[in-house]
Amino acid sequence: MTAAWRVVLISDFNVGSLRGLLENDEAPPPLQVTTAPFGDVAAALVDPAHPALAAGADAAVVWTRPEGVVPSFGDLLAGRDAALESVLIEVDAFAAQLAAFATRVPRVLVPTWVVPTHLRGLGAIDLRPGGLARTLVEMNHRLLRRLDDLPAIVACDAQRWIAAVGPAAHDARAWYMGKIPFAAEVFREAAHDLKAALAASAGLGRKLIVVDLDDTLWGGLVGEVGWESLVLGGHDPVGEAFADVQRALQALRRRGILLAIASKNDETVALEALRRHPEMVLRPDDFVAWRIDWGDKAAHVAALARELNLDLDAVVFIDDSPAERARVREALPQVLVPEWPEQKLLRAAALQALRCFDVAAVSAEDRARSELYAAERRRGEARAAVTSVADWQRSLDLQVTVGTLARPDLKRVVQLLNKTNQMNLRTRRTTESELAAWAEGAGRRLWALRARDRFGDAGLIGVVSAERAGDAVHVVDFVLSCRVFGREIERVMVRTVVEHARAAGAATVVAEYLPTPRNAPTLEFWRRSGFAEQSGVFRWRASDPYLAPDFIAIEPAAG
Amino acid sequence: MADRAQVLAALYAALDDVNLQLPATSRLAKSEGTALLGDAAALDSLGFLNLVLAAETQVNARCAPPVNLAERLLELDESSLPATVGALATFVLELQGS
Repeated sequence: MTAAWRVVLISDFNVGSLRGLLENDEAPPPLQVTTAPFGDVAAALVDPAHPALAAGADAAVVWTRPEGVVPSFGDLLAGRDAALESVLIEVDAFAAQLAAFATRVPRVLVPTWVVPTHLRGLGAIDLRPGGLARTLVEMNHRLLRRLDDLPAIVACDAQRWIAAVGPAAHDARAWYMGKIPFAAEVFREAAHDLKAALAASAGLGRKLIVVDLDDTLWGGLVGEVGWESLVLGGHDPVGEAFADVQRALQALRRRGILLAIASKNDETVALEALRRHPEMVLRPDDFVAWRIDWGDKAAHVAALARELNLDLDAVVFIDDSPAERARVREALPQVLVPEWPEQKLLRAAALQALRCFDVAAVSAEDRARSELYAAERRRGEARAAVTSVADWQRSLDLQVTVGTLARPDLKRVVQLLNKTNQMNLRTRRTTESELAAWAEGAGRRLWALRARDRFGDAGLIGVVSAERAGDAVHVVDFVLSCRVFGREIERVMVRTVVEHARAAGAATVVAEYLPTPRNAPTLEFWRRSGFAEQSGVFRWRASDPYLAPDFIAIEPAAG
Repeated sequence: MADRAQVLAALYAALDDVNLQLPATSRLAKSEGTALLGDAAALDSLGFLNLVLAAETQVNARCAPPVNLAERLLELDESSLPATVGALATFVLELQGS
C-alpha cells in the first residue's frame, strides 16, 4: 500500500468540507489532509515556519476568494473604483507568494477565482473595463501567466465546478453560518478534479483505451450489415454522435493515450470497415494493437496490456454491452470500466468527462506515442523475420544518445521517473523543481538517454543518475521505458555510470535494488548484469571497464 | 403535508451526503436514534452545519410544504437543538405543520 500523501488545504474561507471528500476518495494516491486556519493565507504561504507545514507536505491546495487576497477587487465589490493596474499588482504579489511557497511544497494546486453568479457588477456592461466580470477575467489571466513557468503549481478551473453544479453552486446559508461560500456539490466536483490532478502528478493517469467496435465506435453490427450500412457520420444525429465518440478518442490519442480494439467480429471484415468507410475518423493505424475474434474480451484486454508492457491499472475498457463490461470488471478489477450511457447521443460527452487520463504535462513524446508504438509493431514484424534475438538486435541499427540533464528535458525526465514501474531500480518519485535541485548537488550526476533505430526515433527513453559517497558511486535512478526493453540499452546505462566512476577515481559502483510489486524486471536485469550481488545490492569494481553491446552506437548528446 | 416516513427518507438522503465527508469509522447510521449532537455524536460543528443544509435541501426537494430549517435552528438555544435524527424529523414536521 502506498503511503498516504500529506496534503495541506490553505484558504481564506472554511474549506473543511473538502478535507473528508479528498480523504474518502479511494482512487490512488491515498491522502492525509489537514487544513490551515482559514484566513491565514499569506502567512501560510510565505512563512517557512508556519504550523500548517510543520509536518511537511507532499502537496497543497491554495483556494482563495478573489477579494480575500486582492484587496482592490474588494473595492470593486463595494462599488468603489479600482484601477486595473493596482489590481494586477496585487495579483502579482499573490503569485510571488505562491512561487515562494512552491519551493517548499512539491505540488501546489490553485483553483482559479470565481464570484457568485448573482453578482452582476455593472450589469449588461460588466465585461467592459471596470466591470467585476472583466476584472476577474483579467485577474485570472494574469495569475495563470505568472504561474506558467512554475511547474510545481497547477491551476485548476474552478469555474467548471461552479458550472457543473449550476445556480445553487454558491450557498448564502453556508456563507453566513459557516463562512463556506460554496454548496457541498461544488466541493464534490472540486475533490474529483483535485484528486485527479494529484494522481496525474504521480503519473497514475490511464494510458490505454481498449474499445469495442459494433455499437461502440459505430452503429450496427458490421458482420451483419456490411461496412457500407454502418451508422456513422452523415446527416443523422446518431451517426454524428458515433463520429464524435471517435473524434474524442482521436483527441486522446493525440495527447498520448494509446488506443486498442477488443471486438467480437471477423477481423478481416472489421478492419475493412475501419479502412474503407468514408466517414470513419479512426483508421487501423490509429490503433496500436487489436484482438478481433470470438474470444473472451477479458483475456484479450489482459493480453493487450501485456503486449504493450502496461499494467492493468493503466487500462480503460469501453464497450456498449453491459455483459462485457461486467465480465471485464469481474475478471480484471484493476481495469477501469466506465459505465457507458444507453443513450448513444450522450456517449461522447461521457468519454470526454473522464478524469482518468489527466497528466501533469504533455510532452512531445506523449504526442508521438502512438507513432512510437506503431514503429514498435513494425519492429516486431522484423523480429519475426529473423532467426534469433541477437540477429534482430543487430538488424535494428540502434543508436543511443547519452547526455547530462538539460533544462528542456526536465519535464520528460520527471515524467519518466514518475510513470515507470517495471525497469526502475529505486522508484524515486519527484517533481521538476525537486529533481533540478537534486541534480545540482555535489557529487551527483544525471543522464538522459535517447534511442533511435531504422524504424524511428523512440525519444527520451532512459534516465540514470548517480551520487558519490566516499569511494563509491551509488546508482540513484535507473529507469528505462518499457517500450525499449530487450535491446540491451540497460547495459549502456550501466556503462555510463561505470565510466563516470572510473573518471572520478571511485573504487566501486553500487546499485541497491528496492523492490516494489512491479519492478521485478529490474532485478532480473541486474542479476545478469555481471555485477556481484549480495542481498539485492550489486557491486562493480570501477577499475574494470563495463562493455556495452557492440551493436549499439553510443553517442554523446549535442551541446 | 409530508408524513414522518417521507421526512425520514429525506433526512437519510442528507446523511448520505454528509457521510461522503466523514471517515468510514464515523459515518452516521440511517436510524432515528443516531446522535447528531453531544458526546455520542460523530459530527463536529462543521459536520452539523453541513447536515442541516443538506437536510433543508433534501426535505424541500422531497416534501411539501418547504421549510426554513437552517434559520429556524439558528433561533434555538444550543440545548434545544434536535440531538438525534428522530428529533430532527419531529422538528421538521412541526415546522411543516406550523
